[in-house]
Amino acid sequence: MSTVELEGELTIHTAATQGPHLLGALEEKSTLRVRLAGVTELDTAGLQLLLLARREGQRLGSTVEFRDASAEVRAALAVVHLDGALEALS
Amino acid sequence: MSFSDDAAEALDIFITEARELLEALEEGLLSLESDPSDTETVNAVFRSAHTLKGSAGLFGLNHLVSFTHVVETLLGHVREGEVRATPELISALLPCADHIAQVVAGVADGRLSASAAEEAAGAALLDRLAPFLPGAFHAAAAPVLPEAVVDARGWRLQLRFGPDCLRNGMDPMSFLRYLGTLGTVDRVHVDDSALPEGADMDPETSYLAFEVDLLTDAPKPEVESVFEFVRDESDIRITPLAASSYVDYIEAMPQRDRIGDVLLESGAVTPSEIDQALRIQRERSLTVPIGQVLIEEGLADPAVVEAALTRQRKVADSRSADTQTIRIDASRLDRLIDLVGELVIAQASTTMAGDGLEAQSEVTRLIDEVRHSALSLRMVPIGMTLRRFERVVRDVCVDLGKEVQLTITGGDAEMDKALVERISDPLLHLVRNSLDHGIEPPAERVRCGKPAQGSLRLNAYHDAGNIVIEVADDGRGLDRDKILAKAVDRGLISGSASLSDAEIYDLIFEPGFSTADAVSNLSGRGVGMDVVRRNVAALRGSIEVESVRGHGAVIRIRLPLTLAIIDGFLVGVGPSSFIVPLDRVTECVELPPGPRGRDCMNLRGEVLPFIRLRQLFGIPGESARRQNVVVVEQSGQRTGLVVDALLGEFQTVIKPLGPLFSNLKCVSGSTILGNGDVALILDVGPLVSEHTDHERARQAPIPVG
Repeated sequence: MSTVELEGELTIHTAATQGPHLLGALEEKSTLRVRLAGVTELDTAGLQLLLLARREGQRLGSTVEFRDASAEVRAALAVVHLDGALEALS
Repeated sequence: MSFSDDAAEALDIFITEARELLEALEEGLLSLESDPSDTETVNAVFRSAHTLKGSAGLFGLNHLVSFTHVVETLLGHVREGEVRATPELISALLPCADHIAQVVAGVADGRLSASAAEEAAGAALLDRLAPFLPGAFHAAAAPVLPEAVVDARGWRLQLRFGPDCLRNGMDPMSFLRYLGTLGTVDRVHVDDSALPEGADMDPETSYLAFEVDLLTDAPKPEVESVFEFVRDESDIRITPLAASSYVDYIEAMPQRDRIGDVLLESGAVTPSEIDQALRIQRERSLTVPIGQVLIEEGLADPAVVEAALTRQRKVADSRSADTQTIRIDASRLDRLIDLVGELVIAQASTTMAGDGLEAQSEVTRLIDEVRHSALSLRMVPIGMTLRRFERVVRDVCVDLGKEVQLTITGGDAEMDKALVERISDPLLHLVRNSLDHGIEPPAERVRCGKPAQGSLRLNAYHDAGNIVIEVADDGRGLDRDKILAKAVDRGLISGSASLSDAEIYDLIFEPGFSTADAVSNLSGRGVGMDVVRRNVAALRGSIEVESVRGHGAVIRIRLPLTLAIIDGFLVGVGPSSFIVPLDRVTECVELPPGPRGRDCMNLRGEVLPFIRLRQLFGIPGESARRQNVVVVEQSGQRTGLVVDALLGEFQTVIKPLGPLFSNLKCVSGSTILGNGDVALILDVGPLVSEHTDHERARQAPIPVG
């Protein structure tokens, strides 16, 4: 079990650095907890990073849990009706 | 669901094949009824069902497969000797064959899955089969009602943004957020299938696609305008929410001619929308199809309009072309190709030095043979159609408690495939009529000293460029006096008219005429015989009745062999040319000198009434000094046609008249002459009878009071 904390913007402006940061934390056959409490903004670039992380995790046989989503993240995910799908946003 | 052109073509072949298999199936079942132990027939019947199921499976016609499967299974048991082919079983199986035929007809109309009615009918039929099946067997699916058209107002948006949209500062999610202000975002599906593997992913490229259901009253342009700035690099599709269900609904709809009707009925557009589109259509120009206007104005979804158009086209197709595919004997095709080969050689030799004239006449001869050969490709034996009546006779006899032996002769006589198909309904009516009204119940027959079993004879033969089909029964025959009384009663003729037997019998073809005392569900409703005559006339044929009271009746249909080309006789009147069908012409004589106004002449001691074509068609100018009379014969009556010039025989390719002239009597079509002129083809039947009526009216005493 490892944890990665994402902070600040998760948008097109930061995707180039946030991406490797998030994906680099993935390991085979383990659980990665992604804490989103510090994320202040989420756009499509950020969204596809989260989706990619989840898919990559499945490929590696790991579980990716999204936790402690900030209000901004929740609102953004609600727009694309994914607030329920990216499970365990609690 | 729709097929590509290739698949549609294959489907046509399947339908042709399926019909043949069904005929074989039905024929086999009928012969099994009389000889249940005939293993050869049992095998053939089983194979028909089996092949049918297999072919249907190839096209994914699951409703056909699942139904035919049960029939096949049952026939399999019959083949194994586990189930006996009792008359009861045959009676249960025959309607199944009918049902399959109906489903196949539905497929031919473009319905690729079962309608609710078909489901229900199929399930009922399978229920009837169940007792015959060894062991419990329940294949009958519960009838499924077609989904009602969802009455949701809204749009389905399929959004795939350009890969650079994020870099350009366009965030797809912000568009989605904005959509929320137009209405309710009912459903969002995020498609991340384009996301590459982790390392290959460029975090600044947009990979996601969205499908959004937006419930809103906002018109399509308003929704569309949201995406104005990303339109160029993105793939944005906006369709009405319920489009897919509309498409299904339209495909399953009964035939409609006008696209507006189709769309209206399906509910895809409202009447006011149609009005709006029509107004726009008027303002712009009438050449823009209404469907296009509807699409452009965002009133209808392209898929829906497309479905409606396809539907409309299918209706039109099924009207114009009765036969999409026909099967041709390979040897006939080979013969045609041989002939064309010879023609090419002959053509080449005309350009060589030598006797050009001889080569030319060889070409002419070959062209004629090619024509014959090409026409013969469309020829099929009529026996196939006639044999179908075995079933009709069987069913009607069971219904009416009569015993009738059907004899079919001359089934080898060939005629144009299109004609065969179009004559089958009128024939069916005549057969039913004979069974219902002609042939008496067994008890009555015995009383009259006839065998209890009646006899119905279908006979076909060629006669002078025509095919003649006879429906003959040994029943009670036509009642001359009853027909006469009825005709007077209906006001069809006056009580004092003296008519020949043939003229009286002809009255049964008048609209609304029926002498049946009991109106049964088979015939006797007074509709039919006039329709029969109209149908036959539409095929350029004629119909006549011969009857001996108490001994039976013969109804004779006379049809041309083909609808495409006739042997014509070309005549000239002033600058105009006319074609008289050659098979109607009996002789040509010179018009003897006489006063201008007369309208009959002496032909070998008989009075021959004649019609002056110049007068009839109002052709200006003086008649030629020496005029000729073409003597034509129609149902035993001879009439002369006075013309200026006899121009000889002419192979006439018939061009149908446009719809504008569809009500025109006396002219059945036109053709193009060698010099490019148009010649009208005279329809001798109506021409003569019209003239006779006219004369009769002219000569009738003026009623007093």
